[in-house]
Amino acid sequence: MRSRRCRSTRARAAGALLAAGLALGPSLARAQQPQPEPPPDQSYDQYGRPIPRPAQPEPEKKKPTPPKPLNYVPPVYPEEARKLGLEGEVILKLSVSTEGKVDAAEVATPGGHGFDEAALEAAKGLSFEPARRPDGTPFAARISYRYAFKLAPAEPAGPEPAAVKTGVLSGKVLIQAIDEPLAGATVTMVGPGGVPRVTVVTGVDGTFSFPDLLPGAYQLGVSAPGYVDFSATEDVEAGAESIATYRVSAELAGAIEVTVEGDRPPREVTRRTLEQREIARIPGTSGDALRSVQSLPGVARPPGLAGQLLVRGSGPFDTATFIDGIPVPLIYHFGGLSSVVPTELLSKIDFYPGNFSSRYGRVMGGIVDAGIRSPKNEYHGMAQVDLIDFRLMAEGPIPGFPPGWTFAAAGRRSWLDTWLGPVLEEAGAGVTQAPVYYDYQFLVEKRAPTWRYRTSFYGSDDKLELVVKEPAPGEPALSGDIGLHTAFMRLQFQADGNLTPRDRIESVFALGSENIDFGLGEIYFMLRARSLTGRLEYTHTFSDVLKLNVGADVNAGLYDVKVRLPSPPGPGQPPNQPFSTSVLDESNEQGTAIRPAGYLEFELTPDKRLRIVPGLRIDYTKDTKRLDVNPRLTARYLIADELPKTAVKAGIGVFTQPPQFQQSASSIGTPDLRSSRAIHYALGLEQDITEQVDVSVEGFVKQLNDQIVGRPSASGTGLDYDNKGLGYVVGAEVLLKYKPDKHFFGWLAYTLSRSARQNGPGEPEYLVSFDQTHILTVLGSYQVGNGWEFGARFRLISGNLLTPNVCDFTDKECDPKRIGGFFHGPSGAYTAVPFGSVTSERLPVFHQLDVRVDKKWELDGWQLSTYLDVQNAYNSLNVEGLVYNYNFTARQYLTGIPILPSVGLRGEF
Amino acid sequence: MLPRTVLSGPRRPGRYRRAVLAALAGGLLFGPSCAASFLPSSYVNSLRVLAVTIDAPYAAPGDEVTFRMTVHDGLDPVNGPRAIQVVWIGGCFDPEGDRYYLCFQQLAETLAGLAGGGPPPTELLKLDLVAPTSSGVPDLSSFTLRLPDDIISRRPPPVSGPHYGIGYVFFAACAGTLAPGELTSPSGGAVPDFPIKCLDANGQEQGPESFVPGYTQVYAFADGRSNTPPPVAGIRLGDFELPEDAALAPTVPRCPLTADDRRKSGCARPTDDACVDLDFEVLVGDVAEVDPDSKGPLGETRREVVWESHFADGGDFASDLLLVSSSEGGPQPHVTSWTPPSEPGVVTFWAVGRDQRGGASVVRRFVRVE
Repeated sequence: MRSRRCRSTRARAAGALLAAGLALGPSLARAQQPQPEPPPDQSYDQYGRPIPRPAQPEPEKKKPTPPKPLNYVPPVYPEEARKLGLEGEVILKLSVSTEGKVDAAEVATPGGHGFDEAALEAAKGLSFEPARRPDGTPFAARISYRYAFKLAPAEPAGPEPAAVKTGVLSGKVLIQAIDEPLAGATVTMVGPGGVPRVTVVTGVDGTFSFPDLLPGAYQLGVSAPGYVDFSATEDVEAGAESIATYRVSAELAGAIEVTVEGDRPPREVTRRTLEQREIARIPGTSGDALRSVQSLPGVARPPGLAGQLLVRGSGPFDTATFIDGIPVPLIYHFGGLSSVVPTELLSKIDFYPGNFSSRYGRVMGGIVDAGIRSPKNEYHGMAQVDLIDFRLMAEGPIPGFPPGWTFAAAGRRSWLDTWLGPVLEEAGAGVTQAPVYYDYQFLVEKRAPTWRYRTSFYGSDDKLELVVKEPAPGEPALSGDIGLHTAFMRLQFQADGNLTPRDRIESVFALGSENIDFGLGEIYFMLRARSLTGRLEYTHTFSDVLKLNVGADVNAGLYDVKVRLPSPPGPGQPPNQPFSTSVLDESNEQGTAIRPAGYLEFELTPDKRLRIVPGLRIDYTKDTKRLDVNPRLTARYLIADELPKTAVKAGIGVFTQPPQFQQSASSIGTPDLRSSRAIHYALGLEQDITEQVDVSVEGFVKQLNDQIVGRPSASGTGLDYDNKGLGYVVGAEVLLKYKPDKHFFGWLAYTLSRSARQNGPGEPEYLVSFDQTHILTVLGSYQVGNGWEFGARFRLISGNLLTPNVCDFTDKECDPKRIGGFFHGPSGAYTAVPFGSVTSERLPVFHQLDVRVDKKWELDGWQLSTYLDVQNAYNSLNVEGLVYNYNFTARQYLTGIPILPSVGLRGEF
Repeated sequence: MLPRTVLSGPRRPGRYRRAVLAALAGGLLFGPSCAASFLPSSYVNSLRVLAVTIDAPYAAPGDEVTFRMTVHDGLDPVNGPRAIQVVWIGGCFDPEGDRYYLCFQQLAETLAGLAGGGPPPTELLKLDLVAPTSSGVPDLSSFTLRLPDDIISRRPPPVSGPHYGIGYVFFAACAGTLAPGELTSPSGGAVPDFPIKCLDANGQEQGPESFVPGYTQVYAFADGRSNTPPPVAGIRLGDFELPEDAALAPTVPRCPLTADDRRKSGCARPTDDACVDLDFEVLVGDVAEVDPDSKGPLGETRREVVWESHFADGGDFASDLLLVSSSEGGPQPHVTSWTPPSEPGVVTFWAVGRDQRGGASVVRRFVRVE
């Protein structure tokens, strides 16, 4: 919660911002509009008009009026500063008398280089309409007054250039919670290199406009007292008007803006977003933004707490996850307990279920790219605890550094181990379990007018240890410690900015490490990897109809794998013996993995309603020595550009994915594999129904070939891999969404799909185990007032598929006398005889209701909130798999998590 | 009387506290974990093939090898075992990829010839009858097979590893009447149904409680290597080694808990101080042989892995299988515990020692529960 002191600070800052002006010409500085210090609490726009205050809950009453400027006195640009090409600004404190004269002036924020003296000198000539009380009586007042010294762009040499067409950027600022205009918000625009900062103030209808802009990418910032700062980058095209709508949230309603963008064509202004207010309160996610991705259309339900992302019928390894454009091995702790980046630090989540941009590659499923936001310019802190973990965060300006330098630090650690282990121990369980996870994020950022520099260090660590007291059934040597440890860290450098109005650079590079350890008694798998990943992208705007994005990225690293695993049965070793009695083989493989790629992408806008994006990506995989060419094309056409808007979109593209390590490693795999390949087709429609409700429908097809298939080797030991696999995914998605208003938000997401494979031409077709024909998610949240909010999410999803060894005895066609296993003499164990073909049985329908209750208290200077999030509220015994008895004559369902309540407490200032 | 061994372990918390802790652990994370699960494999309560041994798991081309079966019918403890038919069928050598089910076609053809009234090919097929009084006797039913002279040479030498041949022998035990079945796979699976069925007195097909099909195998290596099955010397219960003769069996007190209560895991298992768990050890010495194909990371030779499995027609074991000797660590402690049943009577134990190269041996012992 912001204190009153912070509010007044914001008011002053807003006043200073709205007083920012345009350069008038060579060697001239533009004077900024005055802002009085309270009282009176009033601001003016650049035309001297009083700015309406943002929505105020208090009843209106007459207030004093501040001094109003009657003239403008330009300062003399210091000659030395002009020769050196220096720009600057000076903020003065002016004492305005009852006659409107400047009695005294002092420098509040110096600019140096002669700017202070020039500003003081000019201020002597200023005159004002004096401040007046409600009854009209004048009184003396102190105000802030800013002079900005800007050099005009140098005159071009040589012949007069051809006239450059300009564009317009306009839009509207809305209050997020109620979707009503926000008047008086300051909108600051920073243009491409050389174009000065421009500030305007929204009118009573929340609108703003920047005319006559050169084409290029512009950074916009929106600020208003009592509301969270918001920033965005918008493209301006010659001869066109770009219209944007921004929703800002009140500070007390949440300090962050996270958008989950579903199915967004690359580099498009129009966005379909899920706002932070929605994400933080989706039941069943405990306010975890990244987990909310699993409620979007096209995303299948992973089994149990697997935490996998199964996107449009693709496998769990077919979807890549990124943090700020850098690939990371996982985004969920322990398969879904929580995500590795806290929601509080996220700026956006780009989710591409298919047909993604050429800037992404090496996977044939989907993309999740989570962006970490910029730290705030004022100090902010947060602490939260629930049954699973606790987390802390702090951010703000870096003390002792110049303005523009900010930091953020956050961390989280589970404390499940402190109570779950003893509980299991005393409850007589055969295992002692101690899951521990933590993550951390440190961020330093420097924001300059046209560039942003960021250094971040973040990582995650998951550790699970089980102490098994008795050997597992059927496994005589399987006891002792079972350990799983997964950790990664990244040291990341980013720089983004505009070289010229037409040229932009985005770069990010990261040094990283990954450790994966798995131990099971004497068995272990250890991976140590050091990685260098990065991306460099250059954008050039040729004209109002053509833009080029060209870039390169690389995934490179050194890896060291040590394994001690049971060897496959060798000659003379009958199969089907207990896993734990196998001979253990040790191996150690070290090497380098280098996977560079280059891509280019054109953005064609032949008509303001039409956007076509052809692209090409070329990937090289050193370990398989394969070159993959990925042409892609997306298009979008706005049929109706006024409410109710209608848009159609389509895409087609090639997406390749190199083999996984174990498939192509020379020691355990098949080295000469090709990349798996998919062709994505998509066709969709977006339709506004009302201002509050919209719907989108999209059909998709994935044609799969060169899929990697593992087959038992001819010798009967291990697997041989080949690229003979085929398959397809076909489906459709619907998202019907009610956008947040004062009380309610919610949506209905439905996906119909079929995902099938063949192990080779002419071989039987089968559905993959994670094929889920129907996926329905309905959720909503309602604010009842007084800090209370109630939400619910209901999911109804087809069961997963499996290949049963015992038929379902409730099935009339099931023969209970069927022999499900053969006794194997050498091992004494039974060899299962699969019943039916591959994935021939679908498990029962999954259905689950999650509910959530939030209560918020606004206290003096801070905010306290608590929530109760209950997963599986009616304790549905959802089936996740089957288990069999020793001779495959009986089976039981393996059910998922039962009712799981979680209580959380959160405080922030 | 055998000395009583009380289950050791942490102090059991009070009933109320345990319930709370169990609800937290099971309820929050693992669901209904206190329910009884499947019956353990060590509990013999149906027709069971307990062991199929071979005198020479690694033989030479032209050798005769003998397979022996230990089979017991424990379906009806009141009326005792039923008569058991056992069929052995051999003659399948070197199927592609060593896949046993590729022999089923040959198996069906052999059976079809028999059904057609022709003379039984005695070198490939044998039918035994195990009388009720002989049920459970170790190695009672046997079958001798001669390996072909070309069992190895008919296969091309592998690119790596030893050159070898393999022979499969199929068997079925039936507490009823064996009959040829159809070689079909009505459910569409890759493995066809076993082409033998088991009928009751009314001609109705019987299920797995009365019918156990299976297979075993024998290897022949070009380098002439051999493998001796790990011998089992006996069984120790508490401090006493159990006798082979049931009449000399020692006596142990019964456990008042019902079978269902005994088999509940962890949190829901009731306690009774009168219920005594006894140490149970299968006596297998340091018998592991060197496995010439098993090498350590530095090329050192390692030994075969040996483990034991045990069975009883009453009471419950804490573990069904125990490691006896690992490839690197050598002999391992392999003591588990056995909880007597609540019903008095004679309990039969079987113990099987196995190595991972196909060797196995079996013993039977008795104890009396009062």
